Amino acid sequence: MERLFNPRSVAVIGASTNPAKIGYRVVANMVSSGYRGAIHPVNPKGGKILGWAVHPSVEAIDEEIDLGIVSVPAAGVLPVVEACGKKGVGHLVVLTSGFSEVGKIEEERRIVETAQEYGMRILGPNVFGIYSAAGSLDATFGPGGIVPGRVAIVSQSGALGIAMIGKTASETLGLSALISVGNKSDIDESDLLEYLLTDERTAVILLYIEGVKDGGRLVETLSRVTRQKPVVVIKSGRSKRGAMAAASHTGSLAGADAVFDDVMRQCGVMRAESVQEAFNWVRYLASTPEPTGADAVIVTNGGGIGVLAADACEEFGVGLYDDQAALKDAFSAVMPVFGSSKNPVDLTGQATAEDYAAALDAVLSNDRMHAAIALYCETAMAESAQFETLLRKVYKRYRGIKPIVFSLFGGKSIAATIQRLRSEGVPVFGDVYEAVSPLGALYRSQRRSHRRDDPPTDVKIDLDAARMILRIAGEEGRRFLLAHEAAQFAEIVGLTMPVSKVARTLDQAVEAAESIGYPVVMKVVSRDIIHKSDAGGVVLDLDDKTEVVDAYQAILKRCRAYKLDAVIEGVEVAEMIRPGIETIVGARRDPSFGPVMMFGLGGIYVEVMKDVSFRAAPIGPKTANEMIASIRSYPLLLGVRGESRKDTDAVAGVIETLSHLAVRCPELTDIEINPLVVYDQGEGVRAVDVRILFDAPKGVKRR
Amino acid sequence: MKSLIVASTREGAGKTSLSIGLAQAVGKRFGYVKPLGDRPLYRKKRLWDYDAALFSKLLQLDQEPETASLGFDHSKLRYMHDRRSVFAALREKLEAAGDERDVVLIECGKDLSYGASVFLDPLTISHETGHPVVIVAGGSENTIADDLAFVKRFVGTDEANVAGVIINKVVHLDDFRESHLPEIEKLGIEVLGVMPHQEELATRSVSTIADRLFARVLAGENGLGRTIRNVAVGAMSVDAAMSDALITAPDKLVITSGDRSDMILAAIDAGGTSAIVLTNNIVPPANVISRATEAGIPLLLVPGDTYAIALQVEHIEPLLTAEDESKITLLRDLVVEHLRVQAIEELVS
Repeated sequence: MERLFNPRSVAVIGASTNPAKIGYRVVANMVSSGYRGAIHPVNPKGGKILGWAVHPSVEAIDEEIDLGIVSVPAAGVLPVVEACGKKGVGHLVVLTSGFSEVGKIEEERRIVETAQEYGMRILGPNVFGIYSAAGSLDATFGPGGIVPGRVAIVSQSGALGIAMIGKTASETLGLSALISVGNKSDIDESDLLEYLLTDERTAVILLYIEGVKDGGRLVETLSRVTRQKPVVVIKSGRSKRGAMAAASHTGSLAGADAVFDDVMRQCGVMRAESVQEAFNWVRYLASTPEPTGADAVIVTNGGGIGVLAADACEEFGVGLYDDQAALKDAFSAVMPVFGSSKNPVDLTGQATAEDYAAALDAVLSNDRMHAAIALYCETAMAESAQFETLLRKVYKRYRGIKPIVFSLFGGKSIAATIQRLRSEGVPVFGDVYEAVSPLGALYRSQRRSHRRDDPPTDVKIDLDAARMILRIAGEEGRRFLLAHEAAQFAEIVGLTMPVSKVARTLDQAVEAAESIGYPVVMKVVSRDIIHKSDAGGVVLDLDDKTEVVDAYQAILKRCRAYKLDAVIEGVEVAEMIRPGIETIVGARRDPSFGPVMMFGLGGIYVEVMKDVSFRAAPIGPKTANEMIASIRSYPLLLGVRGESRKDTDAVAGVIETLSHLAVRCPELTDIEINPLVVYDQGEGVRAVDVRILFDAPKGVKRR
Repeated sequence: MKSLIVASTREGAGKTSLSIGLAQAVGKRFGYVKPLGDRPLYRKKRLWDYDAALFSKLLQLDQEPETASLGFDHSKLRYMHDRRSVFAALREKLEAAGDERDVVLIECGKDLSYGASVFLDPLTISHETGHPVVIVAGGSENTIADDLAFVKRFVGTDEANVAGVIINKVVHLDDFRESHLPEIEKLGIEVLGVMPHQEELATRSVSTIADRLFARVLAGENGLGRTIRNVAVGAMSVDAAMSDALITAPDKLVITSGDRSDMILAAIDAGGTSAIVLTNNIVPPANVISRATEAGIPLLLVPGDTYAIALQVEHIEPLLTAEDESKITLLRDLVVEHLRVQAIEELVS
């Protein structure tokens, strides 16, 4: 990737002398960005563009070319790729649109195949180009004027990416790189992240994503990158309408947003709600030192806004220093008698600029105060001009030592102050939440980089035995396991299922119940009925023979009414296990990320409240425990109202084992244990029902 | 103690409704037995027949509905009985049901052969017990003629005591009486009456649909008693739906996927919607549920896909409830007007 970001020579194929054309714009941007290498415009018409001779063809260039920028009509791209390949061009950026995003998948595939024959990599098609500070290279058709800096942006959207160029200029956000990935036919985010991880100029990475391809690789790459550099992601397609728009925009499926959200969190990536929020975060992350501790102090001249800031700190995970004695010591000298030295430190509306400066100095010089949140409400006691000078000075002192954010609240002059200070790179905002949010992102990033990884685990699974069960079912033309098969499968992976027997007649059912011992449960066994409860095919808590007889009849009647042509093989009679907390654990093949684990509380908590968490598989015990702790209903597992704490370690063990199974046995498409009943700590878990769906194992023919 | 066996030639002939009408019109105190239950209700781990529960309420019977049947599935009867013991058990039931009653109405299964392998079809019961059978014939005119001719030709008087037939649900009554009845009577069959089809009796209630689909009620519980006369499947765009007469029809059930908020809202706003079935187990957004709650329209959440659910709804038969006073009164009045009630009384006197 080095030569993509720092090429020694660049060919612009489709260059133009017409300033209105993209082929001109790209050359102009390269020139104005101070690119030091050779520029080779290519156009059969020849001529000169901005002092550079235009070659009639790629072949006519008498020099090695590291990077080609292609801006020709779609029909002409493949011959250009062929020519560049023969020329030995290392990377090709195809600006041209009209490929897979409009359904021309075959044409796009041929471009990549041709490139691969020559060992050439393709960025695009359907991109706006690439900017790289390392090469002083602006090979985009954007507005130009990109300021070099420490933030790398990778964008799947062309128009949004170009608009971001303008925004980075107005926000004084310096970029180390700006790359448009477009259709991701070859080079994708993972490839770029590998480079940016080692790029010394890049301190923070911002991704704009609409759809994910090769999610497994993306997860692995992001997990490595975030240990060293913060990554912020904006992903669209969160809503149903958004997902529809994304699908028609990029031809890619947005995938379940909840899964994306959780998997990003798993990788240590911070997801911003908006472009503005993302910019606020990356700018702050790129220019702020890591805090040396978790305790921030709020300094304010208004009590109300101080409370808002405290709320914001809780929301964004920023800890507040609360040693009352130390706070009093530090601030009593600078505040009036009726002020408050509790955190938020309220200097009151009477505070002058000097009082303010002294309070912020107190935070800066105190080793136990690790970050400052400075709030100011416009008053007559400190003129905004005076304040502006003060904030510049304060920021200059804090910068490089301690994180600080400012929030100013007032009229026109305050708005102007904010604008001026922001253009100088001072982290100042008009809204308290907007101010605290980047500080929260900084702390999250720090926690991520300090997080110890899951130790490598050695989960033993008898895969051969598991595959044998799938093979036998596959030979019968089924893509799901019957109850007793699922129970065998579950035991292979170390899950204890209730004792059960399959009965094909009523007398067998009665015999089974008597031998297992009451109470028992009864479930229909039918290859045509997957959701047994929905069909009325499950009856619980049968205490005697009469109830067993009635239940048997009820199940048969209801299931036949549910699905007239269902083949009912019998019923499964099983021991009724004692009650506990019902959870659901599942592994599913996600279209974006491959095998993904799901955990939540079972029953209505899944279907109505949708209180579940997701993680990409495989996962270790630490991640499994984090997954369990992340659901809203987690306190129920900790024990409430006198209840004991539940055996979450056992649950984590099941999640971990299943995650490894999902990865090692890719023919499994869906495993769901619902419910997995959790007992008190030390008493383990019991799997009550297991549903398993799979693709046909290779080479299996239906008998 | 007298008994009257009520049988039907085919499923859907209207045997149960007719029995309700008879029990109201004939001046006797009726008990009720349904030897082989076929409309199971499973509550609190006990199984009983829907019709038995209905008759129990209507006739104010002392007996528990779960004691009205010997079983519901053939497997149970085979498990517990042979020919001798099944009739011993049946006689016990009849005796218990007939306590302080004039007549026990024995309602048999969906058609003449139902239960034959476990000796509980109507003709075997009649043969064994000597009680008279009244056969309810329904269907198209030709179907009725075929069924009755078949019975007459192959059921000898030794086999069963067939006391007569009631022809039910006839659409064109006068036409039937003119064209078909004489042919039937020529067969030598005792026709106890010809009952007309009544649209009002063919409607279903929302609660019946909800029960049979194992639906979860998300909103509008108070509307479960509403009537359904029409069914619309909301698979098209809302624009197309609004110009479809069915969407604006009264007393309709709309079936659509739970993520079709647009169709759900259209059904609520169109008026005349008795209930909406939400398929694919997809819960709509809270604001849509609130709108339905406000409008008092039940939202019934079901797991199946729209096609499967529509098929199931198609097959759900209209069932009476004890609260359907107007229908019950209508049945009684129809029986009085169209049947030879006195002849029936004589059968059981």
